[in-house]
This record gives sequence, C-alpha cells and structure tokens, in this order.
Amino acid sequence: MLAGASAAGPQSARDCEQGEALFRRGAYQEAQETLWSCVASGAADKRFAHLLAQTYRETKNFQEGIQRLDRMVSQTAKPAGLAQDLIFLRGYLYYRLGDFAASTAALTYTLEADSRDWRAHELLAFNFSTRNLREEAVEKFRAALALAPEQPEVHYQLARLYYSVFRIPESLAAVGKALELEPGYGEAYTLQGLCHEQLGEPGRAAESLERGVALTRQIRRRDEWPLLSYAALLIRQGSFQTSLPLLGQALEWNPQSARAHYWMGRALCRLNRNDEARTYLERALALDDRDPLPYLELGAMLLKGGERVRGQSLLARFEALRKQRAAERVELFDAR
Amino acid sequence: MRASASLAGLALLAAVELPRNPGVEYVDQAAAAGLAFRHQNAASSSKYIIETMGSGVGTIDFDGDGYLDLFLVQGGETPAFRPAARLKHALFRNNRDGTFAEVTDRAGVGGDGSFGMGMAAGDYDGDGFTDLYVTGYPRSMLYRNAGNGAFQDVTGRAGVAGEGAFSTSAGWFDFDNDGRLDLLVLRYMSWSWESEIRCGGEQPERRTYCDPIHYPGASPALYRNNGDGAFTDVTRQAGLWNPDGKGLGLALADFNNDSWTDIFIANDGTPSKLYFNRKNGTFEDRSIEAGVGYTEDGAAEAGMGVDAADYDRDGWLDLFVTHLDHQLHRLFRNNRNETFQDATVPAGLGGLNLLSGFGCKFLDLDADGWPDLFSANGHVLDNIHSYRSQVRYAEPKRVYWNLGNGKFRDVTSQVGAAASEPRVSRGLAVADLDNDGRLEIVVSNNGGPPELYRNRRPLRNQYVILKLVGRKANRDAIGARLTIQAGDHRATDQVKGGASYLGTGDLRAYFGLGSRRSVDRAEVTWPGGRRELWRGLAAGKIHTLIEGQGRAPETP
Repeated sequence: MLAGASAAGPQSARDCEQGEALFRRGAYQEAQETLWSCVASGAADKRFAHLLAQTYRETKNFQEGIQRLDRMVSQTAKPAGLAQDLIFLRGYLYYRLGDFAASTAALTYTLEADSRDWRAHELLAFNFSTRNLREEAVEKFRAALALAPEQPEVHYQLARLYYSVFRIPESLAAVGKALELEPGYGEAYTLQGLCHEQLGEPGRAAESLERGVALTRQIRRRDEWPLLSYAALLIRQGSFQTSLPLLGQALEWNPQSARAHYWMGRALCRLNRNDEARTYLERALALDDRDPLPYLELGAMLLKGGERVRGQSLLARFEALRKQRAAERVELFDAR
Repeated sequence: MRASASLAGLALLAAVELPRNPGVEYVDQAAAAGLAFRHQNAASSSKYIIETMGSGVGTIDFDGDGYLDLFLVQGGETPAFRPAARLKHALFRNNRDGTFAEVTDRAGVGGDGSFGMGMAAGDYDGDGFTDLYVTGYPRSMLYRNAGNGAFQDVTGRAGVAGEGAFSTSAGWFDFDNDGRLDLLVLRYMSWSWESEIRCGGEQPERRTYCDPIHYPGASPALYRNNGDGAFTDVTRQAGLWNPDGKGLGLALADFNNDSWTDIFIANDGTPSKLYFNRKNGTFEDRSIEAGVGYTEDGAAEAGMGVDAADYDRDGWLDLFVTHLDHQLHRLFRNNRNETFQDATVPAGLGGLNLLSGFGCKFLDLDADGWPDLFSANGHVLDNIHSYRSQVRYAEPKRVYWNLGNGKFRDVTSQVGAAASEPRVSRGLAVADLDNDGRLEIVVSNNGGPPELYRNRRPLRNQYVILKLVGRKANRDAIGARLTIQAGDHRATDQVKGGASYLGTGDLRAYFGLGSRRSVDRAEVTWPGGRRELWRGLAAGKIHTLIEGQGRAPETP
C-alpha cells in the first residue's frame, strides 16, 4: 500500500497506486481519471492531487478540469483533505489557463489553511516565474523543497527555472537531485543534457540526451522534444547525418511539430539536400508562421541559391519576428 | 612548432614532450612605464549609456622613430558630470627604454571636450607622418600630423566630424585602391544626452544602462579621401547605408583574397554585417549568405570587438567576434568561397561564457607560427551582479592558445597573474612596443588606468616583423597581404587599418617562425593585386619592404 493513502479505503489506495503507475507510463488520460477517484476519496498524501494536476499539463483539458472541480465543490459532503486539494487544483488549472490572479488567490488561500502545503509553494513559483519574477520564483521553489525535499518534480522545475535564466551550474545541481530521487525521470535527463551542452561538454550532453530519449521510448511517451533536443545537439556538433533518424522519429510521433520540421530542414540543408530541406522548412512555416527560425534557414538557403526576392522577403519576416521576440524578452527582464 | 604534422615530424613528436602552454609570463607594467592616465567614465545615476562603453587605446608612431607610441582616449563632460578641469586624451611618446612620456599638450591632441570613444591611426595624406582620428560624441576629430611633433585639428576642413553622432570604432583603408586612405566610422546608435531613457528597477541601485534594443540604430559612415585634405561621405553610394546599425567593432580585411578590402561590422544586438568589396566603389552585403549575420540559432548577438587572422594557416582570413556573457565569443572559419563556418564549438571555445568581451586580437604569443587569441573583458552593467549572480562588472582577460589543430586552449591562468585580475576592460591593442620580438598588449579600462602587459620571459621561438611601405599603394600599405614561406612553414597575414574595439594596433606584420631561422620568401600582394617578392629575410629582425623594391614573383 502506498504511504499516505491509508486515510481512504483499499479501493482508494488501489486507485492512487494505479493512477501513479499510469502517469509514469505516460497514459495521462487514464491516469487523470484514476487519480480523480484517488483524490476524491480523500487520499492523505498531497502528491496525488499534485500528480493529478500534472496530468492536465499533458492532456491540456483545463476547462474541463475546472468544470469537474465546480461539480465536486457543489457536493455537500467531502472527505477530509479534499477541500484543500480542490483549491490547489483550481489554482493549478487557473495558472494553466493564464489567469494568474485567480491562481495566486487560490494558492494564497491554500497556504493560509496550511502553510506547509509544498504544492502551493511550487505552484506559486510557477506563477512568479511566468510573470518573470525569477528571484521570487526561486524562493518559492526553495520553500517547497524545504517542505518536500523528496519530490523530484520540484527539483526538476527549479532546474528548469535556473536553466531559463542561464544559471547552468545551479540547474545541473538541481536536475541531478531530481535524478537521484527518480532515476527514470526522462525529462530530467534531457534537461541535464541541455545543461552539459551549455557548459561546453558535448560528450556528457550526448550521454544524458540519449538517456532521455531512451526513457521516453521506453514508456512509449510520444513526446518529440527529447528527440529534438538530442538532434539539435548533433546538428550543432556537425553530425547532421546522425541526427536524421531522431528527427524522423520526432516527425512520426508528432507530424504537426513545426520544430521537428525545422530541424529536419536545417539538417538536410547542411547535407546539401536542398530540395528536401526546402520541403521541410516550408512545412515548418505552414505549421507555425510565428517561429522566426525557419524564415532564416529558408531565406538564407534561397539567397545562396539565387532566389533573392523570396529569400529577402523571408529574411525580412525573420528579422521582424526576431526583433519582436527580443523586445518582449527585454521588456520582461528590463535589463540585459 | 606544435603540430605541423609531417609523418617524420610525428615520429619525432612522439619522443619529445610538447609544451603545455605558450611559455610566456605577462606582467602589468603600465605604472612603471609612466602611463599616468586614468579613464574618466563620468559614471552617474543618470546612467548615460556612453559612460560604460569606452574607451579605446591604440598605437601610432607619430614621430616616425620606428618605436610605436600610445594614444589613450578619454571620456568627457556630461550633463551629470562636470570635472574640475577639462578632460584630455593622452599621447605617450615611446622613450625607447621601456618607458613613455606624455606629450599630449605639445602634440595638441587632447580633444575638444567631446566624450571620447575610439581612435584610428593612418597616414591619410601620404606625407610620411601618421595622422590620427579620434571618435566620440557629439563629434569626432581628425588630427593631421605636421611632422614636427604637433598635430593640427583638420576636422572641419576634412568634413569627418560626424556632428551629433555617437561614433565608436573607426578604421583607415583604401576601399577604392586609389592609393589614398579612406575612413570608415561606426555609429553605435541614434542617441543624445536629451534622449537618454530610464531602464532597470525602480530602486536607484537597480537602475541600469539600457539595452541597445531600446534605441534606434545609426548607419556607419564611409568617407572617401578626395586627395585634397577633404573627404566625401559616400556611404549610400557604396551600399553601406544601414540605419539599423549598432556598430561597435570592425575588421577591415580582404576575406575573399581578391586584393580589395572588405568590411566586417560587429553590431550590438542587430545582425553583424559582412560587406564584400565589388571593386567598383560599392560593397555587397553578404552577411546572411556568409553565415555571420546571425548565429545558426537565429540570434543577433551583442557584437563588440572583432579581429581577423588566418588562424588555421590555410591562406584565408578568419574572424573572431566577442559578445556579452551567456553568448559565445565566436570563431568563424573562412570557407574560401565568401562564406564562413561557425567553428566556435569545434575549436573548444563553446563552453559556458560568463564574460563580456570587448577588445580582441589574434596574436602569436609564443611565436610558434599559430595565431593565439586574447580578449579584454568587462560587463556593460555596473550592477549586473544584482541581476545575474554569476556575472561581475569587472572581469579577467581570456587568453586562448592555438594548438595548431583547429583547437584552442584557455591558458589564462598560465600567462601571469595579471591577466586574471578583474577589470572593466574595453580597448585592446597589440604591438611590439620595444622592438624585441615579444608582443606587448595594451588594455584600456573603463573608469580606470590602462594596463601594459609585457612578457618577461625570453621568447622560445623565432620571429620576423615586416613593415611595409607603399608607394603607389597607400603609404601604410593598409590592405596589403603577406605570405611567408620558411621551410615547411607557410603563413599569411594582412595589414589591417581597423580591428579589435575602439583602437588600432601595430601595422607591421608579425610572423612567428617556430625554430626556423629565416624566411625563405615573403610575397606581398599590394592593394589592387600587384605582387612582389623578397627572399632570405633573417629571423629576429624588423624588415622594411618598400613597394617597388622587391622582385617580380614567379608566375603562379
């Protein structure tokens, strides 16, 4: 029996156990249903509501989650602990829907009820991070970790935050801790690989990224990002041919991935397979016309090939998008 | 010689222990040498961006005695900073005994009160005396060397003041190969005291200098030398007009080996520019096709300093460009077809970079024949630490040793403790100031005294210094290409009138020869393409090669 599930009956314990197992296997929709049963029965361990929240990150049916919450709230009798879980879930779903004020209000309420609720600290960290209050976010992650140092997810999220603000050694340390706690944490290996790449350690980066890919494949989670991260490293190292199978699988897993098309186009372009590269880059643009990178790659390729008019036009679009993104970034940082 | 790998050589190398570092020890002798100068950056709570960007240093043999003198650019008065006495640039005459004497007032080059940024030395009127251009805001100045130890301010007559512009790096070159030096001047942005904006946090200690993205750009200016003491602004006709420019560093060099000088401009946060000279008075912007405009990941990095040299000795000039922290200082390898490959990562320069680079130079520290790298660093924000805990305003230098196999090794900690001292460094000039074959490095520091690095160890290799004198070509031979052959050692360089950041260095070409005791042949390709040959040049000497006095080379 899982620790913390004892407050509810045996069925609840089974739901909790099964829900977690489904989550780890990447069966998020099924995990969501099972974890709802687990949480609704009043599981004492806060991490099940936390896992439930994470299923929404994957399935993205946030609005549906809110409606379900509303229905639950309207029920008169609720098991002990459920009220707090529901408020936390509300905070999470509002955060994902971009309503940071509502999310923060729910989480503040949660913390007023129980200042030791690490999930609320973590989620407040997300809120701060999204609003670019990086230092405050770090503080909140640390508060969450002080209460729940055994939670690999929180270490991982702190590592992501550090990575996003170029605090690479700290990111590496935090992701290392996450992996210590959960050696099968595929996303953490990918982040670890990206950290090593930033540190100029391509060998170690490749090792971690490869492990991230292997774990993703193992759980049959059709997430193209580990593949793309590894392929990008290989491309930056000049191993264009080696990157192709990874990119092929990324496209198989997500045929609508603009980034996968972009990287495939870029690799093929470096291999002088320009006609094929062009097809992939054009598709990348069709899938996401706000991503500047395919404009640059295709524009430069066309210029070199003598198609100056379209090449220049694509580059002008690239420059406009690049400037816009740079301005947004500076506005957020308000400093270099 | 580390790895000029003939098979016979490899067998020998297996038995001989290779050096682990360049075997140099640099000490800062600026104070001992009499360089009594302190840059005034006018730092204020108003955070005028100009406060943190300067200033430059460069060499100029103003008295023609064969020993390079030093010119240090000074800041200036601002609306928030009124110095007790007017600030002046400083010209230091080389006393030929390791010391310098300040001769600013006698030379008349102290400036006009503008906020100084950079300098460029070149004999624009071909009279045999090197002239001086000093950039700054709100105007730049041209000083004509009268040949008697004094200079005349000829800015107005020459028409190169750039009134109202925030001018940064400048360089002399003969873009139309008419034998007269023309002038390229970069502008950082469209800016004025009145237009300064507020950035950073609300609290005074969180206020920062603004990111250049907040300011409109400004085009560089190309001034063609009319030959009568005046210049004509030909920026637009030449195809160089770029109102989005945020130019800080430039490299004027021939990147496609056609004997016509091309232009690389490092822009801060906007794409770098590479213009190829099309031999008809115009340039073609090939930045994107060449792969140097943006990074491969589509970023326009904060370009600061730049230098060009043939680091892999394939006969084609490569590029090194410095950027801000958390970006990379990039090495671009010339593909010999007007494109470049970003070789930063393969060269071992791709690790996490916490330093913001400004002045940079390729230089052969140990005369082994492979150009090494030196960068002067220092952040832009004086309170960067409160935003990025790992980054500091004052930073150490970086010295990278060329291993001769396409890779560099960071040897900063092995070239003397001085290089690791944190400073807010900006300008960087390299020259053999005492003509002893060991290269000196001069660094200008924002808000501080300069550094003069001298190698106090004996050089363990041979060298040769070649001073070119043009006759039909411009007198400084700027734009000439040299290729030397010493046994199996072949190397190429060019006389460059602009590189690094805010300053120019030794116009003489320095070649490390390893253990070789002479140069078998030195071929000079003068601007425009005429070739001449010299044979049998002894190592350990400075040779003057005058246009028209060499032999005709063999037909290729």
